[in-house]
Amino acid sequence: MNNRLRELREQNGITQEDLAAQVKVSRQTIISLEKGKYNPSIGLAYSLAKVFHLTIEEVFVFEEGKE
Amino acid sequence: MNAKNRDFLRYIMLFLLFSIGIWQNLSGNIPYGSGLIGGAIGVFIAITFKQKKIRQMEAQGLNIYDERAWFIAGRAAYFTYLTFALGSAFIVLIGSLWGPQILVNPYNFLGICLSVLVLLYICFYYYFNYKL
Repeated sequence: MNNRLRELREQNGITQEDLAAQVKVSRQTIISLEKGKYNPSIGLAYSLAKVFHLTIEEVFVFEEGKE
Repeated sequence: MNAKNRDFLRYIMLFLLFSIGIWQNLSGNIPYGSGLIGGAIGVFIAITFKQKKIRQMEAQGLNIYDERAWFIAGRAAYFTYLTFALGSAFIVLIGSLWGPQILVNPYNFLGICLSVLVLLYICFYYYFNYKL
C-alpha cells in the first residue's frame, strides 16, 4: 500500500514527532509508514487522514497485487 | 494487566531474586548468590532507565507500545516458536538416533530452554523492528 504521508506532512509543516504524538504512536511507526514498510490498521489510517482533514483513500493508495 | 501492575510484579520478582541471592550468599553458595544479586541489580537499573525514557516519551504524547510494536512482538513470538520447535525436533531426531545417552538435570535443561527462547525472541524482535 502506497501513501502520501511524507508529502502531506511536509506540506503542512508537521514534524514526524508531532504527527506521532497527534495519533498516539511512536516516531518509529511514522517513519515505517512513510517508507511504506508497515501498513496501518484501519483505526490508525483514519486518525492519520483526520489530521490532514482528508479521507483514508486520499492518503493511502491500495495497489492490487502488491499485498 | 495494566502497566502499573506489571511494573509492580517485576519489582516483586527482582526483590525475590535479590533475597534468594542474599540467602545463598549466607548459606555459603557465594558464586550463585552473587550472580543472582548482580543480575537483580542490573535488571533493576535497566528497568528504571527504561521506565524513565518511556515516561518522557509519554509526556510528549508518544506511545511506544503502539500497534506496530504489538505487530512486531507477534511476529517475533511466532518465529521464535517456529525456530525453537523445528530446531528441537531436528535435535531430538538426530540425537535419538545417533546421540549419546546422557542424564540431564531437568532444572538446568529448563533454564537453557528458557534462555534460548528469550534470546531468540530478542533477536527476532530486533530483526523485525529493523525490517519494518
